[in-house]
Amino acid sequence: MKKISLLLFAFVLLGCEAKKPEIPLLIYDMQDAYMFDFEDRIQDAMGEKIMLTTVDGQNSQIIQNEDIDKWINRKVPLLIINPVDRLSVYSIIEKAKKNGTKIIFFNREPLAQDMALYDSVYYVGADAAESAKIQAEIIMELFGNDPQLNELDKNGDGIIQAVILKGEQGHQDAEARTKVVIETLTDAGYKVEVLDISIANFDRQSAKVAMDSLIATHGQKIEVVISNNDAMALGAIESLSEKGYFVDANNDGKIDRSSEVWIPVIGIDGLDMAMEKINTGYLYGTVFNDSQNMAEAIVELAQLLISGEDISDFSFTITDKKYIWINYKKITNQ
Amino acid sequence: MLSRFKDLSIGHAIFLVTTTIVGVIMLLSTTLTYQLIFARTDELIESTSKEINKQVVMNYENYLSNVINTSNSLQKYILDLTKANEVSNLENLFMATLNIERNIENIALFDLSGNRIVSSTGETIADDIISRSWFIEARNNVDIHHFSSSHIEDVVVNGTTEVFSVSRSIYYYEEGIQKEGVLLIDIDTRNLKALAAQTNLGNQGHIIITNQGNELIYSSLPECTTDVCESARIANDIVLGGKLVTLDNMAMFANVNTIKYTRWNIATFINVNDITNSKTDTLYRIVLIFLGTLIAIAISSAVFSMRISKPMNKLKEHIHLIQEGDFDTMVQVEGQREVVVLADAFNSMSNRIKELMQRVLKEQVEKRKTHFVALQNQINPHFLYNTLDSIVWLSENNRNKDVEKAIIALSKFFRMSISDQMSTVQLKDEVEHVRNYLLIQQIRYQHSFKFEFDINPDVEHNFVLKLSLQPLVENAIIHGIRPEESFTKILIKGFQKDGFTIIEVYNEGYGMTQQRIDEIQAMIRGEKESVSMGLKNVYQRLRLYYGLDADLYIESELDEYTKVTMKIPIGREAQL
Repeated sequence: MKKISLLLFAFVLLGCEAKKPEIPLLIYDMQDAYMFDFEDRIQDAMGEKIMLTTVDGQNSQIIQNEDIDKWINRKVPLLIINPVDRLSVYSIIEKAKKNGTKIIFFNREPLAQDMALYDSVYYVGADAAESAKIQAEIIMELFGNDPQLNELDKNGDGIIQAVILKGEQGHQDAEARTKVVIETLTDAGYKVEVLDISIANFDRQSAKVAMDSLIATHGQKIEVVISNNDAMALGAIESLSEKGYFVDANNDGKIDRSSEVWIPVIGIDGLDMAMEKINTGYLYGTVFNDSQNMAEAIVELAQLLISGEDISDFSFTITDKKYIWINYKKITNQ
Repeated sequence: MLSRFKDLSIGHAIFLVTTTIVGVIMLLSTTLTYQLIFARTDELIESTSKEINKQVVMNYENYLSNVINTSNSLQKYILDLTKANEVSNLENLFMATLNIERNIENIALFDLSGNRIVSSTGETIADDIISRSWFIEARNNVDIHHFSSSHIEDVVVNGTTEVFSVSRSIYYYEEGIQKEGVLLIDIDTRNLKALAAQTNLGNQGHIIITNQGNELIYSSLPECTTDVCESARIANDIVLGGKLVTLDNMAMFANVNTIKYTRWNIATFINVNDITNSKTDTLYRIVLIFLGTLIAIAISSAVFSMRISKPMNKLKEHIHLIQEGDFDTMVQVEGQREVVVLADAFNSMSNRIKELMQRVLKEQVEKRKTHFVALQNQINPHFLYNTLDSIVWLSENNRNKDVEKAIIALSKFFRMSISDQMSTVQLKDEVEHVRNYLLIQQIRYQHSFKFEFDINPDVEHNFVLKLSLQPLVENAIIHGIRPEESFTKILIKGFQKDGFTIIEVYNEGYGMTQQRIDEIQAMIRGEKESVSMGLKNVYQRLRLYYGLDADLYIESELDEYTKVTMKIPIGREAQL
């Protein structure tokens, strides 16, 4: 009898050892190029230690809710969530709190009042306002760091005529970036005329269509295209190239700004494709959302939370016991 | 247990074993089936309910997204039109929107002090706008739309419509300067009701919409009017996800979900009572089938075991009867084929036993008779007198040697006659007996006949029926001696042929006609009344003892000879 129970105990131990903790990584929409890249980085950073199962929310909070309910019922210790609707997360937090499940939110920031509902909830992300400030810095550089502007002020009126490609209406990042980029420029003494704000839902194809109509309306008046993200910037470049705002006269696949026709387009995120476009001169600049660093922060935090170790060992700075802010980097071809 | 089992009758054992095995198997299989059906029903309830819930949520999301889109486009126009100082156009836009979106009760733009900038209504506006929760919320979170709980429209002084308010902080221009304000859209709640009515949630199925503070926004259940009603309490308890609950003794599947961008929760209560009831029905049905089958199996196994055990018991009783010596009653059984065959075999066995017993009895009787006849003959006073007379005559003639011989023969003869009870003797003993008899008869008949034995040594040790030869010889003396001829010869031959011991008694008498032979033969076989007991008795004993192979027959030629032949199968004792 004793032997049998020992044997059983050994099996249990072995079983425990063999089984890696399985944690869901809930992405709001895997169709989103940025999130697709980001998911890859998180999986790479996680390595073999934890089995991370990616769950696609298909841009539906209903689907994500169902998945969250399922995973909480499976008694996982931790959920890593990129929410579809950041306003709906209070229910998710309440549910997790009730079941003692820890949560790391990332990329889409819940309301502060929701974050305050539960101690074991964290947010890893970049401050949207920060990205817009850096984007404004790029624009200032573009115009010679001088409120009087340089030769890129095509009509010479001393005012920057800009069109803005905005992400989803009501989306925190879209709202913040749109607002802050103009504010930063204005605060620095630049005069900005926003010719139009087109909502293109962070989507490349929508941005191309939006840009087509912006060109039709404003045409040569446009001095700069400010985009809430790279995907939309790439869509805009596609449209602008078709309409002759970029002319690769020597057909070397590159735009030489001193000799060829171009128009400044500035994005945010630092997608691989955007980096390429910066190298070829089509995209003036972008604000690199350091997703690699963010992925590493998420993975390290996840491991700490699962093992129950002290959060004070965490190599990233935690603000207000809940927030891990990752800095942006300015990227241009200059 | 096992010993107790052994004590059971065959019928009970069959009944018990069959019923137990079938019962256990049935119990297992029905339990499994039932669990399977249940699990699948539960799965079905859950997945169906969740699908319905999704549909309902999507309907609401679509509707409320529309509201948000309206708000978003209004914001853009507010910026454009206030910048261009076209406030009157903005008012027209608000009115137009009201006409397009029939559910919108009121659109208004306020500055941060709660003063109206533009509104779709010309009515008097309440003066404490900044204390309204929708105003405060919109200022608390400037990035998002705020969806209020339903209330009587309170922007105008004497509003009557039940509305919910969508509000948010927005930018507008006043004399070229960008300012912040609050946009309010009051929406009639009737569309929330209409959407609830679109989906069939079953009897008493309903929808409850609450906000983050668990305040009731809308309930399609008339009796649920506050956030403390049972449905709201359940929704609050679930937080998010689905669960089977009981409401008013009805099984409901409750699903709680969020409505995108609104910070509202929606709980659908779908009546699954019918399905749950059908689950109970299924349980009853399964139990009924189980019990029915079990009873059927019990009855049929009882009948079947009775068909085996009943004839067995009858047979058993019959064996008791036979033990007590009653061979006459035949056992009559009905039942399984094997048992009937067994009973038939048993009947024929008891018949055969009865037959054999009767035969043994008959044989005993015949043997006694033979003994009796032989003794009668031998102790026949006439025989004794004649013999003694002959001995007297011998003695008178001083033939002392012969006297001695005669007396020895007589004594040997009698000793053999009364000796042990064995049925058979070796042929040589039987021959010795007959020799003594002949010696005595020779003296009696004063040597008027001769006799001769020709016994093959091969057959000397073969067994023959005791006292079976003497009647034959006696017969030869009586019928075979011709007084006119001296020295008539009696020849006794013994030899072996074709597996038989053949004994022939041959005399040179007058012989017989074939007609006479047939007559005698018939008498011997008991077909006719007989006068001569001797031959008949021998014949019957032969048949009894050896069966149909044994025989006794007469051959004769008139004036020449008569031969009686006895045929005994070798090595075959009694043909029992």
